[in-house]
Amino acid sequence: MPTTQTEPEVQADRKSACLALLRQAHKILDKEGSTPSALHALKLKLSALASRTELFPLSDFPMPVAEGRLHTLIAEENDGLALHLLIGKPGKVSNPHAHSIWCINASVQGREKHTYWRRTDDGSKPGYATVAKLSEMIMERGHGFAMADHDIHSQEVLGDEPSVILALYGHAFNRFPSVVWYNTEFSTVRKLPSQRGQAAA
Amino acid sequence: MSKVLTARRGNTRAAASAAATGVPTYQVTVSNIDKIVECRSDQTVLQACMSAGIDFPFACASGNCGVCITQIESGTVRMLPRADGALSPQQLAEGKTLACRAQPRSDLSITWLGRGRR
Repeated sequence: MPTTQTEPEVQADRKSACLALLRQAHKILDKEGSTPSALHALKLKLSALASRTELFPLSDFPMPVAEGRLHTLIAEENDGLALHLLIGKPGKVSNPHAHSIWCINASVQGREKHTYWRRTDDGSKPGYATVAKLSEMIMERGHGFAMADHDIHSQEVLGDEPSVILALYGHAFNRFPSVVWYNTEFSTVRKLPSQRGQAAA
Repeated sequence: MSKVLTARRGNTRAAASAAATGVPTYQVTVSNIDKIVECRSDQTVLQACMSAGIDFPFACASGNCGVCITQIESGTVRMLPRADGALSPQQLAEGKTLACRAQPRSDLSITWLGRGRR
């Protein structure tokens, strides 16, 4: 006979599933480090979690006031791992950037275009940079990707419905070492100082 | 007296294009440096300032980081999509904006605040 979970049961199941993911992530990272194969394995784990859409009902996560909002599911203390849920409304964009820490994304719902870039200048001129497009992918439910510390990507939310993404990072969002932003229109690079020591966003 | 700056590259073409397409162009007074730039309604304030050679503080230029937070002393803007963390509702109510997301809908007078004054 079909049954419907209560809200507290969903939240308890979500917490349990997220904690299990972090345990699995630590097991992989402790053994292999953040190698490409380890990050690939994490992507498969995170994609499996994201496919359990019943654990991430939008009713549990307030929508953005503007177009983009970050919810923290779990953030380990100090420089531990963090799992966030990101909501983006159609039209929300992020210019090319590198997080300076590895990250894994997996889609719960919606469509996002992810474009991957590589820096093409020699870095000798402060504030100046050029980047070239490498590839694009459309991320939808069941899709995920992994990026190393200095990989560069940009994002755009497509379609008519909000995108919901699970994002696993090597550090919590407010403890990123820095985020490096590139601008193809201005040919600039800007390093955003770490938010370490500031209150969480 | 404020100095009027225009785009260093393609300014003549841009002005001609604006005239031809009917895209309104507004004057943006940047109080920090006492200069005025011309900004089309389909440009962001940051784009117009960068094109005019102004070293405006910014990082993401896509409404995510908040580095280009700016006080609007007078005028009206339209906002492009942004992240909640970059500009709070309270900051919006106080007349602050993000230069990278703000397109003018009138002449503007602005002061960039920089990350340290959020």
